[in-house]
Amino acid sequence: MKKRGLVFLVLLVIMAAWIAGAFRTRTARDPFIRQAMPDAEIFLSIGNRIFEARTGSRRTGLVRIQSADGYGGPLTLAVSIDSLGTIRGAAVIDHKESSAYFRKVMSRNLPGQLKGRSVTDSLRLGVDIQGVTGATRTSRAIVTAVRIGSRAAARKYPGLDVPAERRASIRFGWPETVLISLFILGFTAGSIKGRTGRALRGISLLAGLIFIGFIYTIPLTLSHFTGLMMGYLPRWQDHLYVYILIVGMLMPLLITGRNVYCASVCPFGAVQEGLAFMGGASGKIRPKTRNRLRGLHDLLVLTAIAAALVLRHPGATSYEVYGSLFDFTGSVVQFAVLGAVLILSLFFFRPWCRFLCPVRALERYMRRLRSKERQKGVE
Amino acid sequence: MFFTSGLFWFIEGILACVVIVGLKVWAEDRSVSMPWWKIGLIVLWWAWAGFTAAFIGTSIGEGEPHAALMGGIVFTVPAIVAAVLLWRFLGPGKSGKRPEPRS
Amino acid sequence: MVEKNRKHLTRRGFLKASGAAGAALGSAGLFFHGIQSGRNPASYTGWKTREGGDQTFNRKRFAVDSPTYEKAGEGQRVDARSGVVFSRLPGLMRYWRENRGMEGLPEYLQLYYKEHPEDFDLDLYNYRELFPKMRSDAVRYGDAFLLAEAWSHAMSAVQVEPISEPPEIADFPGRRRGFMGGDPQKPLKMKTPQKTSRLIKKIAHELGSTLVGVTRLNPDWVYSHPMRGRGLDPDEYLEVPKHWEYAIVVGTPMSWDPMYANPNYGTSEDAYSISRIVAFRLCAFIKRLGYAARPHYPGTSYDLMVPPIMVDAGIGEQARNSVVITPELGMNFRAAVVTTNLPMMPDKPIDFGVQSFCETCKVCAEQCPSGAITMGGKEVIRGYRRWHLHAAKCYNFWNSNLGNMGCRLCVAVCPYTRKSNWVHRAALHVTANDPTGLSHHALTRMQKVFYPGPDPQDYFMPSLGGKNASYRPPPWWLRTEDFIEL
Repeated sequence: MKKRGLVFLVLLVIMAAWIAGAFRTRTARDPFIRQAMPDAEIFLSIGNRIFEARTGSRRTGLVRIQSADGYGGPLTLAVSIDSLGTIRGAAVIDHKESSAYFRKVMSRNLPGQLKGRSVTDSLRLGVDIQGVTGATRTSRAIVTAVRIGSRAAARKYPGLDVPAERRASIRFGWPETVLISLFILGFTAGSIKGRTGRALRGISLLAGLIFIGFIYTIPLTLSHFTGLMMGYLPRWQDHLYVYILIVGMLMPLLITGRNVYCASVCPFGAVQEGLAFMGGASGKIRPKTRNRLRGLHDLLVLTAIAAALVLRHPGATSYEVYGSLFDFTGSVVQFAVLGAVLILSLFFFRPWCRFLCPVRALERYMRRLRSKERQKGVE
Repeated sequence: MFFTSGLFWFIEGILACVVIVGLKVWAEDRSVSMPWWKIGLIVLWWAWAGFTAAFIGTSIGEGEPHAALMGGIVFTVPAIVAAVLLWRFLGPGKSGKRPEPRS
Repeated sequence: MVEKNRKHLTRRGFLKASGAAGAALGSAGLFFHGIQSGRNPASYTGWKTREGGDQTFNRKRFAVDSPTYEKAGEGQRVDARSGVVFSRLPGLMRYWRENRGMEGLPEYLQLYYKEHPEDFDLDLYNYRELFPKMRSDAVRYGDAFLLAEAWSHAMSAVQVEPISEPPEIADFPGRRRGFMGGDPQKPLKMKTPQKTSRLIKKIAHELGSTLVGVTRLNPDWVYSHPMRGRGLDPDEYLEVPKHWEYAIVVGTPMSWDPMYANPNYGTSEDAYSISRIVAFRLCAFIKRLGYAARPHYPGTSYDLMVPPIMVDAGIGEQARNSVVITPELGMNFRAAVVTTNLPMMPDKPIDFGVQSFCETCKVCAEQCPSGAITMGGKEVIRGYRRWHLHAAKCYNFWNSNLGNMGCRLCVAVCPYTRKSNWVHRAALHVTANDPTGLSHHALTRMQKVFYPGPDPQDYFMPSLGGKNASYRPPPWWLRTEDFIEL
């Protein structure tokens, strides 16, 4: 009974956080609209997210609020055009990028590059706009929002010849193929008993380490889930990889009770298991200590999710240390935690997974939702 | 400066010999074989650990404490992992034989 | 009688214990070696000796037949009146009048601004808005830099006599100079160019230069306008004087610890003052041998561009920010050039991996507060392929921060600009000898993780939203608050 109560309580906390986040004062848009078109006197709303800029009684242009998918979530900006379809300015209202990347893009004045362009230009990264090296996703979000927004506004001028938005082709390349193959391989490995199954799982983990870890460096993280909870659904044509990640983890779990991602795909899991294999990993933890640690684990993840929901910023509380290992970037704390986890992995089996990983905590929660008997999981 | 002088390195050389002799005696007492390649691996490990200590010290002396901290973490962790693995595979087992890895 | 509780210390036990103690002592020793290595005054390259003991990199191994910049078309000489921002801005200030606009500017300025319209906005903004803002910010927030400014001022207290006569007169020995005078020396017959080169380099070290290099002068590097001693704005195309055959590069580094505390505690004046004195001394020496010599020296007394001459002379390679990286000092080398007709054997240029490293690294571009350094690829500029530096943006930042004039952040953050201890020497030799470029990626990563800097926005002065940040804290002897009541 107590377990059921706890489950309900957690749900309550998350809902409360979600509501709190929704009610937080939304960034006032007016200063940014003005920034996009400084020489207008007043702005009148003439439709859904579109404003008319006026000087006296004359319409001098239009300003449109447009969003596009950034790296950490939607990026919203105000873009203005004049009656000839020339872009007069763009001002970012809200974004979910990490501050360092965003500042990098703004210091290179990417919005400034777009001033003076026409809606009939290509307005594409790499074609006629130079992105900011090392911040491609953020650059692309800004350029996309300006392109789509300016053209949407331009369609209000009947005399302008606005190019149709090219239907984005589905991005399906090697990363997506590899990821799907790994899920299939992992699922198969879990279905075969004995040495063959174990060997297949080992191969899958090794491949996951190389590809998902070092080459692509896009493992499953908390921000993927919190983003979903906030309703940030990036366009599946561009972000198929992320959807495969989430679906590949959730579907087998909910249908068959098996977590294929953790067992056979996760690169950090692969590292820990490799170290466990070499180091023996014979350390045992007493049940009382283990349960206490698990309690702390759940509390940590719950706090991270709630905070992200309140801030409406999926990446803000994504505390994973994978970047320090696979990309050699991160704070001192992340490096230190990574180091500790690696050393502990020699003595205890998968310590990060069992006591720190947000995905594993989510899995435990979902299992509790289903039934009590299926709590064994991969352990 | 003493620690950058020739005398210091002379003393380090003597200490290195003392360490090797001590290691040899210890290995004999524990009935662990010490062929040349094991000693080589230990020397390599020693070079890495020594590099780590010297790097941390140099960064502090240079006035770059952040580098000392980060370098400390980044270089020490593999040193510890390698030490544990070396002990497991090269060192004495419970029955004197090499321990089996857990699968 | 042997007590049962006491452990017997056998000989073997003693050896084992000694081994363990030796290991502990040895490691501790290495740690303390590290600390003293890091603090070692000998690592402050450039301030050690006149024995040439700072030019320690074996350039012979890396000598190549042609320099690591690419010629991509017809070379053009630069018009320094408009192409060099230090001349252009005073020109704009002198001739700009609101009512006359562009028409009131001399033709060379109009031409330049037509080709570079963005620079017009930047230059105007610089002298009308930034400069007064900087003065008022300095009054309110500049106390912390008083000592640094005094030190810089002291360094520039010794000036040299500017050249006021045309090359045909000024460059040649013929003037009686004080009581060292006598009849002007006829050119002495030197034995061989190799011997002359060797002599000149040793003399240059003795006269105070840290690094020396010799090359034939490429006329593309000489300004088309102006030339000191020929009057301010001549309209005729200036021929390169025939006696400017060779160029000798001399110079010194800036003081290391203040340099790391750029853009405000550091200065260019410490290196500038020594470099110009060395250049003048070297000219006096060469003239004493009877040959022509002209010094081109910092701050702005040049008739030519120095960096490509440094590359030709094998001093180093040109990097992403257009500054030359030297193996011994990184970018921390401020040069002067002496043009002469003394016959010497030129040095070969060197290739030690800088082009490949700069391709990956980009730390200077990321840290540059003004965005003047490009993150992109090389472009063809006046006939040569290299990375473009937007000088107007850079110069605007000089008036957007407090403390000593200038910025020098790119010099301070460059991975090559490190003191000379075993860590950085090892990194240099690894990158210099690595043809694959793998170490360049690895070392760039380590540079960013181990040696990060503040947010570039913080370097600005307070009225522009910054915090007067410096890349590293100032050395103890420049902390004004420790010595002066503020």
